[in-house]
This record gives sequence, structure tokens and C-alpha cells, in this order.
Amino acid sequence: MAIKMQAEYGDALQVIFVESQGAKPEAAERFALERKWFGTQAMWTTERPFDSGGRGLPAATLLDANGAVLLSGSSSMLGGKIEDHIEDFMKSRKKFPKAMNKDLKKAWTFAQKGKVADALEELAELEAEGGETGADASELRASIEAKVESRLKAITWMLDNGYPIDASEELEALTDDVDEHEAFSARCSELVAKLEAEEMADELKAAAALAKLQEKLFADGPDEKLAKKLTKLAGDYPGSKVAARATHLASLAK
Amino acid sequence: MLTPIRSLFAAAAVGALALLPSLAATAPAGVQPGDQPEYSWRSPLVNSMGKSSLADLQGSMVLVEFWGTR
Repeated sequence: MAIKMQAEYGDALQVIFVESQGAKPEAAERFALERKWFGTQAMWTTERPFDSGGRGLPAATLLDANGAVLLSGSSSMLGGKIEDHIEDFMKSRKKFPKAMNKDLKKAWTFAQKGKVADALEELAELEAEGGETGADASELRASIEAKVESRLKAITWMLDNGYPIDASEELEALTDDVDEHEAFSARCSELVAKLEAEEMADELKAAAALAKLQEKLFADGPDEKLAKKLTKLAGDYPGSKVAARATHLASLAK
Repeated sequence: MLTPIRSLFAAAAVGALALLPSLAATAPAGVQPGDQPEYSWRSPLVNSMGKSSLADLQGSMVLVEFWGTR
């Protein structure tokens, strides 16, 4: 059910599957691969971030957009409450928060539309006024800047770990969002230069080839022939980050 | 008949058993609604695209599913 929800809600919902019976990471990955559970944005780990409080498995915890626990316990006890909360969030996320200072509405709306530069400029003016609105503006500015920093960090990670196509797509979107913001635009330009560097050309070619094999692996599950193709791909691009990913997938596909 | 030392142990055991229900009632089992858990993963999550902590996921709702391979 969580996999379907991840596919349905996309970025609005982050799903983390935590194997909680002591399986080794590779065994857990292979188990999920055999059941064709990969292929969405869901994340997988064998490290428990906290105790759900649920008796037995499966159990689940739902956190709101600020990281606070909404529900936690045995999945059978939570039932449709999880979906109800997510539906409420989907409806409310595009509306100006009732609890927020109304003077921030213009800046908040800019941020919602991806106009980061306009939002930060508006907030800087409100901050200069001081008082309660100034303090609230400062808090919202920090939140918007943190989100941009988080996206920059993610793109950097993708470039450094063999995901140049994903990095390129996210970088294009972020560059558009921070357009006319001098400091953030400069940071994006640095990442564009890294993406367009000569040494990244092979990574991009390899990533395109890997994407096709990975799609088949996630759809069909482990397969010896596919494992051989993944191993060959790794050999075609020796030393690349994508080759390391292909080698790992080949080990799971056997 | 119990010796004085055995009586003492028996009394202590009865006292400990009497305490258990109240301990169970007060000790929270796992996270509770309203808690704000913090965690940074030591090993990268599969498909995380660089996200390494619960804080990195703020802005979206987060569903943590605990499952087993057995």
C-alpha cells in the first residue's frame, strides 16, 4: 500500500521502508527486488530511526511536513487514518497556513510558485521593518533558504554518486526557481559547470544506458542475463560512479 | 515456613511486581503523536538521492514503514 501511495503522491510523501528483522542490507534489497517493489521514489534501509511502538510487523509511523509524529503503531491498527492525513495535507499544502502572519502571504505565495528570489526580496523588506512581522519574516526566509540548500546538497550528492541525469533534471528546475537570486544562481552555475565538465560525459552516457537496464530489472526482478549486461556496462565505463552502481545492481540481479 | 531472608526476597519480589503495571503505564513504548524524532542514518538509504536524515525530508509528509523479510 505504501508503494502505491508513494507513486500516487510523489514528492508530497516520502516513504521509507525499514527492514526490522535484522536482515543484511543486500539481503533486504534482494528481497524487495524479487517482489518488484523498487521503481518508485521510496527509500530503503535496515537502520531503524526510532521505535514505532507497534507490536509486531508491519508497523508504521507518519510524520507531518515539520517532522512531528502524527500516527504510530501497528499497521493493522492505523488502517485508513494514514491516507486521511495525507489527503488533508494534499488539500492544505497549497493554501496559505492559517497560523502564519498574514503580512507574509505575498512572500509565501512567491515561494509556492517557485519564485525564490522574489520571495526572499519581499522577506528582506519585511525583516527590515523589525517587530513581530520582521521576526516571522526572518523565520520564513530561513526555511526557504534551508530548502534551497537541501536541494543544492542533493544535486551535489547525485553528481558525486553516479546519478548525473537526475542531477541535471533537478538542477534545471532549481536554476529556474532561484533565477535572479545572485548567490543561489552562482551556486547553480558552479554545479552546471561540474555537470558539463569533460569527465562527466562518460558518466552521462553510462547513466543513460544504466537507466534502461535498471528499469527492466525493477519491472522483471532478478535475472542472470540482465546481471551479465549490468556487469558488461560496468566494464564499458571502468572507474566511473555509474559503473559502481551497475556492479552493485549486477550482484543483486544474479 | 519462609526463613527471614526468603521472606525479605519474597516481599521485594511482590513489591517489584506491584510496580510493573505503573511502569508500563508511564514508560512510552516508541514514538508518540507530537514527538519530533531526530535521526541521521549511518549508511546511505537505498534511493535516498543524498537525503541522510529525517530533517532532510521536512517539507513533505514522511511515512516510515517497518517490515520484515521473514
